[in-house]
Amino acid sequence: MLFFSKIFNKQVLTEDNLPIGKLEDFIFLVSSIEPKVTKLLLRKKNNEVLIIPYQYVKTIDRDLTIKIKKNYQLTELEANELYVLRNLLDKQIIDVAGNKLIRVNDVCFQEKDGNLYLIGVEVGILGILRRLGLEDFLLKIFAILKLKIESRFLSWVDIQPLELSRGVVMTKYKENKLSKLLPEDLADYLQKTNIDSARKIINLLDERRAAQIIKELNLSYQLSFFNKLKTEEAIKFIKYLDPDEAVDILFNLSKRKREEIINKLPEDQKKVINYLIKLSKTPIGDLMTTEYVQVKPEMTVRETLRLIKEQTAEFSFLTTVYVVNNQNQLIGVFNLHELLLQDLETPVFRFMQQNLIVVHLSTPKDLVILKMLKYNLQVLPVINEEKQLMGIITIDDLSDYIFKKINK
Amino acid sequence: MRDYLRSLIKKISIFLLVLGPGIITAVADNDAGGVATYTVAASIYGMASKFLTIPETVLLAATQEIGARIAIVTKKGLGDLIRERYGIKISLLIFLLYFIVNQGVVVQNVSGLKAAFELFNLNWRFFLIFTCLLLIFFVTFFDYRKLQKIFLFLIVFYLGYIFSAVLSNPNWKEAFVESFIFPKKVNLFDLTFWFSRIAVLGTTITAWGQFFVHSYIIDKKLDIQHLKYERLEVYVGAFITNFFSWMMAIAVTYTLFAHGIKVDDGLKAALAIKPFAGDLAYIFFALGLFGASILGLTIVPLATAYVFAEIFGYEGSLDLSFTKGRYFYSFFIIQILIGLIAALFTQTSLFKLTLYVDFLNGAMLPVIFYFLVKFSEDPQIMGKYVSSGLTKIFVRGSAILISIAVVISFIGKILHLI
Repeated sequence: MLFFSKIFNKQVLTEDNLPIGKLEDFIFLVSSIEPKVTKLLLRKKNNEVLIIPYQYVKTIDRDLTIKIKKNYQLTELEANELYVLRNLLDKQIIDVAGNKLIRVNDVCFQEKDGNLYLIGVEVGILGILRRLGLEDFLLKIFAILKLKIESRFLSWVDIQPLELSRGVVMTKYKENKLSKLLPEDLADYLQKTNIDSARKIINLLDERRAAQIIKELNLSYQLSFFNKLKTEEAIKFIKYLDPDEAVDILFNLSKRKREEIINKLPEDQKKVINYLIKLSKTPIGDLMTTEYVQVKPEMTVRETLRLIKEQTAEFSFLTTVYVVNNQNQLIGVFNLHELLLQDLETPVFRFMQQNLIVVHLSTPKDLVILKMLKYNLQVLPVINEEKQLMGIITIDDLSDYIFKKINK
Repeated sequence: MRDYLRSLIKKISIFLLVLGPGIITAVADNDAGGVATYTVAASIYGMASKFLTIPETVLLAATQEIGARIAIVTKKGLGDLIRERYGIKISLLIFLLYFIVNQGVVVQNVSGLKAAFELFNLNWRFFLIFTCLLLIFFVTFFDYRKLQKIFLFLIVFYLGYIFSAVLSNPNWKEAFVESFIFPKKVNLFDLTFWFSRIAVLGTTITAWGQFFVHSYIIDKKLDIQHLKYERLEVYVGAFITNFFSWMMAIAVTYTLFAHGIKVDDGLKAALAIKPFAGDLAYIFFALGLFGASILGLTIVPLATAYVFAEIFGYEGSLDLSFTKGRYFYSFFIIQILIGLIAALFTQTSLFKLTLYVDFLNGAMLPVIFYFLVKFSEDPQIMGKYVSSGLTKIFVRGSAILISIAVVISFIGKILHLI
């Protein structure tokens, strides 16, 4: 997660480390789900303003320095675009009945596939402290006093984007829904609405983007979603999914529906999927282990390290720590290297990866191996239909199976 | 003729409908701290302490009008606008200063109330606690309409100063000349006179008054078609306020000043009036102090609570139930309780405090007028009601004038302290 306050006013460089100007604002495309940051607004030393399209961003470093490709070009604000600083930050949040709830204290982004998405707004006191530059200092003091101070977060899905141009941030609820929305609620935002309205929202998006969102839904939701779709609609989405993900879904649909969909897929994709389905008679359930560490999102690095020391002395293998919410649903993950780089008092939700690669109990072994190779991972979490963490599967567990396959 | 009468009645009824914010805010500017400053100044300089009172009234009317206009047009409080336009750092800094100043003013008013109870020979501890709790109860459980009636009723107590002034047997002609035309009884080259004169201006035009008129108009939910009437109401408020403080100055001038008695707070002034103007004048003066303190004690913490709600985005309105407006009401209650504790448990004179509070209030004023000028001239905020032409010059002129006055009074206070 990236906070606007942390990146605001930072010097933006070219890829050759030449300064261009200070970051003054992000421009984003107004949409119902995770608006994309389309442009950066920089202010040069001589007060001149530059608007640079986001596609010229080369990297955002660890210290949040943005580097822009040398050949960047300038652009202008378009219709349907808004500013983060001018239209969102510090604005009043109201509920549908017009009651004032609180103000936007900070804005949160998530980097995904080279794009930056606006995922929600911070409304808690931590947001204010962060903008004053006091967050880390006070978190340390709170840790010494053994007090917890939590981030309060309002997900973008709960905001009505059309109201933004009127200068207010309107939620979709009546009153106190806010306090319940913690960062861990982020990943499964769509599950909160009913299937019909989720379908409406997804239909508004272009198909590729919609497929990405569908991919993130939990399996039981994916299933009820696909069961509601007409075959033609389902095919549209399946086309954009990776074959392994498509199989995960298809495999759990009724046989009739599954065959109907597969038959109408383009020839090459049909072949891959049929092959993968044939493999599905070898699920991983029996290979899964429960030797893993799980933590809560608000736990600090210090607490995590202590937990690892206490619990994992007997483990044969540990590379990854899983983050689960109160319903035991998997919401994030980080590896030991990422853990060691952080300050001791940082809560883990601040640096965990929310882009999860997971498998199900029913996932065939070949598919698991494919996923491990594709994403270069030695271990994958196994979740059930409710997205709850059941266990993990490591490449070691599969080595016998791989060995047999090669020798065949 | 009948049509004319009908439209007149209609106009009057609309005026009565908007009546409240301008008058209440302006009159509350004459709170306990105000009474103290006016009486001290009048006991030293007589009616000359009210020299230039007419331009002062115009200045008060002008500054309150900007607030009223921005409030009606934008339906946003000054706190809202500062947070949205200038971000969290600046709004937090302003709020912190504002809270400290207002808490100081609350303490002043609690001690004013204490003085009033002492003047009536009552058990002040009991009555002080009782009154504060009653205030908290009223503000929390009464809605806007009922509370406004109470506020307007409190203004009746200020009539005490008029009676008190009449009973002091004034020389009206001399009072007029001294205050409106030219003061003969003081040396105009005497710098300390000007310092004292500006201190009087400083208690009339306050930081919290600017914020309060703004928030209170929004809470009244006035519409753009009420703007004309609200302006008029603000002007009437400015006039009434300075009329009351003028009467206060008379009551003091023709008793204390005439006999060369100098006092340093409202309590001593009331006690000193007694031998010259009689028991009745004394009672009226004390009643005036009582009303002024209660009005200040309610309005000032409310002014803080409104701005707190605006800056942090909570609901802030007198019409809310306690649960819905808990942040707003809690902020109000906390300030009164701090004031109460300060008055109950400290024995030190609050004179020093008054000095620091005035100091900080003065420091805030130029900043607040900077915002008011900026907002009133921004077409994005004000649309077609933006300040332009003569209004613009007038508003800017007032802001500059007040800022200069503040700087002069700072110098005065520093010299005085040395």
